[in-house]
Amino acid sequence: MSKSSTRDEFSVVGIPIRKVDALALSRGEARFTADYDLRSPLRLGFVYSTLPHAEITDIHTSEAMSVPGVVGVWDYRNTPGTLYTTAGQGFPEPSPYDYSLFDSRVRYVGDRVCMVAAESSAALEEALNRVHVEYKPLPSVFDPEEALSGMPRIHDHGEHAAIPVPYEPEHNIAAVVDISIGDVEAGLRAADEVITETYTTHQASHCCIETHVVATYLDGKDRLVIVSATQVPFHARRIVSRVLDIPIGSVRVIKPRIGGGFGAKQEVILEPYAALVTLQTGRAVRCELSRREEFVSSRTRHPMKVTLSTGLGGDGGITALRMDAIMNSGAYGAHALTVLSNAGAKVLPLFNKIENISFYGRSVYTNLPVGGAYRGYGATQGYFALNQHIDIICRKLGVDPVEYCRKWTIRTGETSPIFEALGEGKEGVSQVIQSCSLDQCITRGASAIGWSDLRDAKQIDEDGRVHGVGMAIAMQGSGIPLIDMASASIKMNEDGSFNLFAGATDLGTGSDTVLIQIAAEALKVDASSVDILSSDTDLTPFDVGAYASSTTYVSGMAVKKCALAALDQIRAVAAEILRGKTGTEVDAGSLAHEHAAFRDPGSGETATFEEVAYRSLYSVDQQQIQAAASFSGETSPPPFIAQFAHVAVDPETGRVDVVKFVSAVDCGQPINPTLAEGQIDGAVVNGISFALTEEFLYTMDGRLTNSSFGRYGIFTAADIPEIETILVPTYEETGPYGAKSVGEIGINGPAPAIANAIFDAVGVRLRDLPMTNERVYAAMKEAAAT
Amino acid sequence: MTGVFTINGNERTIEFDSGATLLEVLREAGHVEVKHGCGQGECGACVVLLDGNPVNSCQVFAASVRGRSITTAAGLGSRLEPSPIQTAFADAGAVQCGFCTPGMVLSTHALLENTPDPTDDEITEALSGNLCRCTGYAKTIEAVREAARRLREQPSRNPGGKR
Amino acid sequence: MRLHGGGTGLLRNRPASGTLVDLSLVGFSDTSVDSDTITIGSTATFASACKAVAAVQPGHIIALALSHAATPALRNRITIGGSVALFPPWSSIVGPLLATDGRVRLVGHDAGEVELSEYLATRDFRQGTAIESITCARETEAFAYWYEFRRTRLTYPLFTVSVLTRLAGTEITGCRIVLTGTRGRYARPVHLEEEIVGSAADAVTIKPSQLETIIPDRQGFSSEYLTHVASVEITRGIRKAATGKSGSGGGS
Repeated sequence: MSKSSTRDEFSVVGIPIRKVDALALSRGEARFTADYDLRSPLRLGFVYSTLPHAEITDIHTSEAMSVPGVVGVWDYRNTPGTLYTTAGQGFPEPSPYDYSLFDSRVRYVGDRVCMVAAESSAALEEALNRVHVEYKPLPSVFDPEEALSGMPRIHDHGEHAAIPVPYEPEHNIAAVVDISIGDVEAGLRAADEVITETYTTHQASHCCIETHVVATYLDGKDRLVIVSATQVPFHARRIVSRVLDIPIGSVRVIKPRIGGGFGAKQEVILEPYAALVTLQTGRAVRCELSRREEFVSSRTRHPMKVTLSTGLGGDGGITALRMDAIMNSGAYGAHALTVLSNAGAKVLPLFNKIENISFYGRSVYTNLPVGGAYRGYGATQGYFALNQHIDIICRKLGVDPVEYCRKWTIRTGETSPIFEALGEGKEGVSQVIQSCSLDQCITRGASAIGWSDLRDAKQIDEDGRVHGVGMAIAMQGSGIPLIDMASASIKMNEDGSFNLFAGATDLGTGSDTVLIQIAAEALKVDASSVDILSSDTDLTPFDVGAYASSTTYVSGMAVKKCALAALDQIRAVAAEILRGKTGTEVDAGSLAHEHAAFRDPGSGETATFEEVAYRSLYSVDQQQIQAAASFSGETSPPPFIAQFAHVAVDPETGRVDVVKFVSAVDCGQPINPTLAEGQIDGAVVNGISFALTEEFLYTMDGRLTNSSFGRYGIFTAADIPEIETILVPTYEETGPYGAKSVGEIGINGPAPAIANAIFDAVGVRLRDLPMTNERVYAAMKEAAAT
Repeated sequence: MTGVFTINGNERTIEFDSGATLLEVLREAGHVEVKHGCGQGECGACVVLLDGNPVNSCQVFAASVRGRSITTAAGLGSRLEPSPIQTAFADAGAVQCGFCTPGMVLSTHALLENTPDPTDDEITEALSGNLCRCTGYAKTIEAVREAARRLREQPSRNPGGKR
Repeated sequence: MRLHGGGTGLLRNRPASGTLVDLSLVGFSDTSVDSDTITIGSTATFASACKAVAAVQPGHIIALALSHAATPALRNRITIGGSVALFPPWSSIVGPLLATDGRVRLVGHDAGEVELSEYLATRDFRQGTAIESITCARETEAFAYWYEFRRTRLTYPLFTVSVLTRLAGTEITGCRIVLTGTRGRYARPVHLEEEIVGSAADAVTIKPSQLETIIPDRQGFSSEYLTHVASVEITRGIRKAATGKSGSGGGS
């Protein structure tokens, strides 16, 4: 079990209490979307394109319609053509409006052609097989650099950007980022040495064990209710209402338990379709993607090609850095601008002594499955490049990257011009780092991996494997400053217990628990005295949802604010009670806040929360003690991480075993150390398999061939290395009880740390992911030949 | 087709399509704690115990197992007295989204019935068919060790808890 | 009418209608081990067969192969007969059976006993015939080595390697090598087996060209690489015999 990690002044924050729904989940009682009882639901399924790019010349649906039990078939001819983005982002969304429910064109193998609703799965399956689609094939393109020619043009049906940002569909460009600080060209020219390298990361699937699933129905008042495995209930409500042209107030979105998200469910994919069928038929609808559909027709991590050019000064510091990026957006542009921006925005401030920086990136449409939000969100791609590049620089200079990183990275009290220059699609927000223990993270992590014993030693074990170590560092963010907003409300019950209502979305991350801990800390009650209801657009106030590592920081601050506001009301009533008890003019401001009570320091008398509640609900000046608050951060204080990989490479086959992986992370004051560690552990293992074994395998015409767990390699319990996660707390003044967020950062380090470790072991550098056994072997063979 | 199944100790007579899988039949019968993750026997979310042995219920025809005894996560312990495995998972932080957890605790139960003091290799082998994307398995392995310890220390050896 | 051996093969392509005969309910599920033969009933699961063999001879190649095949839950369902009859490229049992003189006892139209290799070559023509049991040799004098190539523990193996080595001191007196997942489904490089008799087991190095077969491009890996790894693992299998231990190689 994790240790407590708390300052003396805290009683609940920093304590590794059990996640509030953990036992219900392990007993199988907690309900997920597919577990909801619906009255005679229709089953909804889709026909998908078998071609990567084509015009639909005809769809024959009469045979399907005549299958007994089929209730309807919908395609582009009988559905709204509203253009929107499926990206779950604040309004107006920075992703282009380039998607409609159905279109007369298909743009990737797996694109939606039409949908069928039927009384049973058997009827649905039969009907789907009886839809006949005629296509006129169009030329297709899969390489983003080829696609820049604009031939073929993938989007020419009126697609547009919703905010004033560059958008050039005539060149298949979904997004452009172009910023420059100082004079990079001059800096490179003046440098002692320029190192230029290109790195590529690959497409990947989130592999949530629960696929996308939605249930829709009309309630007793004929309001549309959507139960969805969504990270973004409020964005889902808004987007559904826009696409189907119904009032937002007529829609309710409820998020029950979700079986994993990692960004896949920061997307409004199934909701509008199921909602449309419910609205048109009056019937409840259930729609669940199969595993194959999840791999092909949901969302993926954007592949990215990053070229870094760095000039080195005499002291080894980087004087100028140019970053060029091409990102493969796939057939649609969800998150095309923001993932691209993040590859620079979260990465470039880390080495903040660089005076001249430029970042020029483009997201490009191709006829492939679609990229979307995926844990790390561009930072993962950017850090694969940066951390290897730093390792290359260190090798050139003959210095230890542990020392180099400690010397040249950002620290408390410092800033970077990148914060202001690069936000999520538009200008960012300047900030000064208030909390940073990256230095200690590096030191402790290096010690835990055995850095000084293993680095450069190329030890060979009894199986003939060569050992090496590599490191990577990263920062992320805590929400999107001035954009992300969260709110919460709280009310008090007779016994001094509280109901907390938060829009915030728990994906399994444990945010429900973390928010309870924050509220309990503010009120000085036990965590068990606070119950939470979250993510219901009717009952809980607004929250942008779970993404951008925002929940602990942004939603947490909203919870703290509303709890403190309620506390003020309690204090006022307590003062009344104590005036009665002591017969003196007790001043509310002088009362001491103790555990579930207020005490008058003069007389020593107390008024418990229970006394306050009963009095205010039933006896005198009756009121419901309740408060609400919102929070939107002005900054996005980054968590920091230092990660270390110890690998053993089989020189005869190129197989890479990760022996041990260490992460040392600064997420401010961890509200719940167990949950914080859990976030890092999961992100690390995801990052390791992303680096080594996961791979999308396509045919020449863009069809995915390995759309199943049996052929797409995520790690099992039997594949993992020894994992060590170390929390190195700091105290972030702007965060709730010193907290920063921690959900994404762990996934950024594994790929570059492993690449650096492979170089340490066998002297070859893999600049392209994934680093399969074959690629490592080929690199070693090539190195031996030269 | 009609069949009698003993589910979590209770005999139930269920009517079902003859081609239905055990997963479909269980969920239709209200046992939604058995999860559908892939339908192909490749993720373990649908694992149940068949006469005490873990199987992927999506790969079993219900018709093949009429008359047999099936245990789901709801049958390990009870609401009031959950199995020490379930509480160990909750305490160790091994439950994040919880979607893989019913399958995990059943695989763990089967392991500890046969091997009350498993090595780490035996633990990871026993769990190798239960995919998880949230935890990285780190705290899951700790949970199994803790569950094993709690079960060994229990006065009466009854890992299933009350039914 | 389709036959279902209780395993996982048919569920992938579920028949929408028709008759399914579930053979797992008719018996043939026992495994017995005597002094020179192992007899496995066709509906014995991987788990039960593995347990029975490992109880008597934990170093037998079948015990090595089945103990880590697929996943524990699948091992409780996949049947030996089903895996042999379907012979998917990832079967973990066919290589070991071929390496230990596997023989198949059939019932039905073609009742009788045939060598496993012959059964595999002709199984598509044997309508109305089912496997009752499979026998193979104990090979207690040989050192067994098992390897399967897979990306992770749960993904399907791309090829398997079974090696049985008999030694006098460190000198090879006999060797049995079976690869599955090759072109033509499986291969036994008999010339190679003969060539290395008399060599020192701890100094042997097998080259891909000696395998008399290749493993085709598969699942993102090239034929050249996969065949190379196969040759490396066969080498390791033979060399390991010189250390006096049976064992398995890494899984991917």
